[in-house]
Amino acid sequence: MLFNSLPFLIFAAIFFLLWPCFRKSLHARWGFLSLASLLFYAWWDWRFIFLLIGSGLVAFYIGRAMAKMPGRRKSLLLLALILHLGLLLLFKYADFFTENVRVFLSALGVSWQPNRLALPLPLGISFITFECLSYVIDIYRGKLVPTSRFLHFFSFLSLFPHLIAGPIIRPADLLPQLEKTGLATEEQKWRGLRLMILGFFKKMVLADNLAPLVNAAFQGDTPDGGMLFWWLVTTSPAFQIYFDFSGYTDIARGLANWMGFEFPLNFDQPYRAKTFRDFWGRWHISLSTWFRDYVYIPLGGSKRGTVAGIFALWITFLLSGAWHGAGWTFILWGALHAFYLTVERATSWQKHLLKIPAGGFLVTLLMIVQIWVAWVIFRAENLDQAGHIIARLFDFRSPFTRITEAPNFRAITIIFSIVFWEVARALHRRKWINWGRRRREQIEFALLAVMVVAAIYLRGAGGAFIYFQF
Amino acid sequence: MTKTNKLLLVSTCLILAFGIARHQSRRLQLLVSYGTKPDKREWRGRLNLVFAGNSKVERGVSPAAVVSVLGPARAGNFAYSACGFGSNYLAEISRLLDMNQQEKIIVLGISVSTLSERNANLDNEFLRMYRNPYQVELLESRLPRVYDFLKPMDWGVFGYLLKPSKKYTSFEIRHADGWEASWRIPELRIQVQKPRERVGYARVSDKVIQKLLQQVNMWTSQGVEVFGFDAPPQTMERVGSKSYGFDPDGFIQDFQKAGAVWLKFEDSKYHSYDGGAHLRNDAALIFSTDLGRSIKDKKLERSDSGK
Repeated sequence: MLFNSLPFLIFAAIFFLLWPCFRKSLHARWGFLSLASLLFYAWWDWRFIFLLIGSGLVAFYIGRAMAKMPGRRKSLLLLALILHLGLLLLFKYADFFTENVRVFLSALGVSWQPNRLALPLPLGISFITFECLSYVIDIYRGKLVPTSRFLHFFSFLSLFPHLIAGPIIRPADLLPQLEKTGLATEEQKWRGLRLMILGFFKKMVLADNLAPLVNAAFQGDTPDGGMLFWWLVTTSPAFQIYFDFSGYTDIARGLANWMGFEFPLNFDQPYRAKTFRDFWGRWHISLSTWFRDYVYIPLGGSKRGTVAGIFALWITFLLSGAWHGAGWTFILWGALHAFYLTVERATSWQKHLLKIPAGGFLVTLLMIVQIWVAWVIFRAENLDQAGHIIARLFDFRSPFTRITEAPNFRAITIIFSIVFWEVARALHRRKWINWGRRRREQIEFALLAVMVVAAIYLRGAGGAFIYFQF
Repeated sequence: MTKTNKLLLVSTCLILAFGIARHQSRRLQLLVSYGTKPDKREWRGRLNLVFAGNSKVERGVSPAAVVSVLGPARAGNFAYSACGFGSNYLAEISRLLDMNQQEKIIVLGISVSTLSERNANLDNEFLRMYRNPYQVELLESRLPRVYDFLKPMDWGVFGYLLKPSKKYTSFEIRHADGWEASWRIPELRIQVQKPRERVGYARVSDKVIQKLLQQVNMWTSQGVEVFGFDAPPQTMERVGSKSYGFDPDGFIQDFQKAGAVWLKFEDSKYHSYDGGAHLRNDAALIFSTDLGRSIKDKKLERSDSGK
């Protein structure tokens, strides 16, 4: 079920109408949450609820077994890793792997024609796998006491706001919240509503209206243009991905607030980052910290010397790239970010640049150029297309060709609005305009109301959230 | 009243106020819609004359006008915007036919874009309905007034509000048989781009062509009469054909080898809009009559030659 769909609006209305009935009994609460979440998931394809329940049962019982048999923790952890990652590999990477083996063998002159499994990718399987692994690994590390009630665990795993596309909530954060009864406070409801409105606006007005330009550009609709034309075009996916995913997260956090729960911040103005390290502390924070805690640090992190640190960094980013999709474009995207971070560690180039006049502006510009180039690879249909577009981005021979024929009025309006908004925010932070608290609240109220109307009447052609495919 | 409830109330009032204002003012609406969009899936197993294709067929073919020339038939225009001949679409066309009827006819509006991979299998109005039937069906067919009320605005309105003196006439009349009679001034910006750019995506796919020809073969072997035509206006499609090396004559030959009949029309006879993308409502009626006459003639020719 998509958040931006009529069935979800009906589902949410019924859910929040019934939710107060379950304010007293924990078991009834967990049961209701689990049931509603299963319905939410089954709306897409009911067959995969067995996969969700199966994954949950494996993690739950292995977690309990670890607590009962501490001596066998390691082998139990290995079993959990094999089962969860095995499932992920089977559904997401089996065809990619066999295809690459086939290509490799054919390069060696060996002919092999494997049958494609062509399995449908279960919605949110990467997120579900990571939640389950978090639970088991935290118990293995002694950081979490396993819950003895399956419904408690399953309501954590399947809670519908974060089930399909995150944010990845740590069990230590959510399980205790699920043990509390009561309803959302008035303050939580206000914050929740604000987040949901912002999320719907980001997704339906900004991301969905940028989508036609992005889709056209990457499906070969867009005519060959000059350098500036392509910078305008590639700015769109950067904002589209950001608004799409941060919009989803905002809606998820808002829904959680309305239930009386708190989800952590997942995006913190990532394009304002001055370093790549800072960028990854602001972009998809729940995934970045997951990879930090469960891959990078176990590999030694930065404590075992520079070379070992860079090795751990590359492994982490290559895995992060592969997590996003079974394709070389995603892996190359991860590798490019690992490269950026390696150069940053070796040279601290931002620090040097900040010392010169207009250094701050230059750093922001260079950061954006690098991040945009990486998004081109991420979004491209294949490596050839990515190479073609990147070559255009740095082709100085005819920079202005077709710039006046940029194909989408809406997209350009949105991009310029975002730039205008950012400039206004920067001016506001410098306190050139000093609004009173009451005035600020009134303006916020009016803006939110306008956003609701815009989400209805200026929405783009509705589509699934981009991160659903991951 | 709490701040949360206040915001919900104010937002609801604003949505209603804006929706009402929009429907009162043609300047805010641009495209005025009349009638209810039929739920075409309800036609399954009921038709014996099906028209299929993209928006050129949806807006350019009136089944009622065709039937008035051709003779009695249960006809429906099953075309969808941006639709290509993908496997899901072809399968659904087959389901529409009442196989117990003696005479069964399928008329396909075939243009370059309907043979592209993108329009066939990735993104079109039919697939949107097919993949998300609850939402589309519920709002568009069951609750058409709600659908119209909450329909997103054309962004062109903003540019238009700045030039109030400019003339406009934009409407669509949805007929129960699937025909959308329409005319639009000013034309959609995307449609008035140079034809070369517009058809950039229309790279025909051999796979789509093969699948279509196989299906045509299957239909004709089951006793279904299949007709194909290049729906007018054809200007932009011709440019597309040349750009990507598509050979229309070769395709027509293969189409005929599969047992179907190809119909030819004189493009310049019919008035179009949207930069030559769609037929005007009056031109659509003339074209539909011509189409009916052409099908009738071909059927007579066939029966004369003993086929």
